Amino acid sequence: MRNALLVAALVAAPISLAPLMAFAPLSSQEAAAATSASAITMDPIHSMAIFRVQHLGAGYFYGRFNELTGTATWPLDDSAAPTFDVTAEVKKVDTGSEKLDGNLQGPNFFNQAEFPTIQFKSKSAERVGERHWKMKGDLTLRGVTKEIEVDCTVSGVGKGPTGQKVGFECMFTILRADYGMKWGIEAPKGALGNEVRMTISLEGDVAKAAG
Amino acid sequence: MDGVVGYILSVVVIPALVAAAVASIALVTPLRRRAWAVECFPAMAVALAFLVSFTNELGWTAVARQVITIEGDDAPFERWHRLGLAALMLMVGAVCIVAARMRMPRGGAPIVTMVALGIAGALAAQFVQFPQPTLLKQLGLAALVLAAGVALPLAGGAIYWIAWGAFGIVAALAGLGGFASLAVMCGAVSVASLLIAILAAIGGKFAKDAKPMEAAGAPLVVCAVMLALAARCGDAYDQSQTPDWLWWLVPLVPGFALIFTKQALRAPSIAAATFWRTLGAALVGVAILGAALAIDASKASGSDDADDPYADMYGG
Repeated sequence: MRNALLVAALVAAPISLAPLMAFAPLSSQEAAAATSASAITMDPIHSMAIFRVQHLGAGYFYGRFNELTGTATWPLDDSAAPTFDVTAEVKKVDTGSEKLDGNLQGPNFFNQAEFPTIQFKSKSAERVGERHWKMKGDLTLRGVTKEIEVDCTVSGVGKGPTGQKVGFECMFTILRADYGMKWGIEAPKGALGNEVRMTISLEGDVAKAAG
Repeated sequence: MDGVVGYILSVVVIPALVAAAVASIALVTPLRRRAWAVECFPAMAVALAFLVSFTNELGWTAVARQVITIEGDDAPFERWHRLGLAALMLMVGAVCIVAARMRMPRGGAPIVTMVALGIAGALAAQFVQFPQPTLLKQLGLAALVLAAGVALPLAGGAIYWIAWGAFGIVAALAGLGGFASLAVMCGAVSVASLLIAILAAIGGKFAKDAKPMEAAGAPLVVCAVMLALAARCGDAYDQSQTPDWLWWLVPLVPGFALIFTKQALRAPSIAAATFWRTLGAALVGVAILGAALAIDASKASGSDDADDPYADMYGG
């Protein structure tokens, strides 16, 4: 009887602790170690980053980076956090105006000639809900790498003609001056805001072998 | 104060006024009788205008981080920031060139200018590299410095009037190419050159035994190097459709003073000769600007921006 209770306790303990463990932070190593994590390759046509910055202290100006590339991992049963290694090309900036695109690609902003890509690599994650994670990772922009916090949700898992697809939506806010992009903040004062809100919408193909 | 007005004051007007103040030390004082002062102060002032504009726009750290490590400074090094350091070096160089020229025996001064121009071209090619540098591009930069140095003497006494126009063209092309910072910095040099030209004309009229302005020595080297560097920089980061050859032509604009050389030589006064020389360069400058605008307009007419009156107003 005593042995039976001990066995029951040993079996029950992990089960009862499971909900608590699910909310514990996962390091990138832990996430990578999740045996069922699927390798996901970004689908550039359906992956983009939208940025928002205030213009002249008045309205919000929106633009986007088209055709994001990179990879992610995520177990489809949500047993571990996703990991990301995503790249945006500065030449793919799109505001709907070629002149504005040119200005943004120039040295006063993204300086495409010297820093052609923007990269995000996740490092760790903390679950905040079902398919909802708070992640930390390195954002490299204009040659400066800084750790940022990203709010990431799995937007859905679907099936297309080429196989299984997973979508993510990630949001974060940065101060562009932190990356040396200061034009328009102090000089000319207030032309463009310092705070830039980013919304990243990603869709990727799940690798067939892993899926 | 309005943000844009404050910005223009800070990066164009104040740098130009500071430069004019430095130049005026030689141009409208008894020093106007001294050849070394008339050569040195205005030449230094041209480089100073760029440097003050550069530091007002980006801070001294953008110059300092190129030579020393600054604690807590994690801003990226950008290749075009070398222009600020180059302006600082040219200020020092101007003093050295004038000192060397004054110590040379009669007829030896042009040799100093040629040697200085050669050294400046070599240093520019070695230390000022824009994105995707190649040996050919760096040799091209050195050649452009030398070519500008050959073209500038043709401007004669109109050197600062012509510099006003030439730097103005670089500013306009940079603005067209989406490079606001270079546009305002060259704008500051352009306005400074105009103020120097006016001060030189006033000082020359009223000072006894006033030394004339000459496109030789320090002003020649400073203007040639700065024009070549600014034009190559604008070309390297250009986001418009301005063809490379137009950018390469800008540093040679002073040479087109040659068009009206006959009229300049026959002119009854210095002012008239200056007018003819400036006119030759101005015609080519206007043609360059016209060509760049026409190319840009032809491109815009085929894009969605053509009907957007606010397309040029980003950030403004």
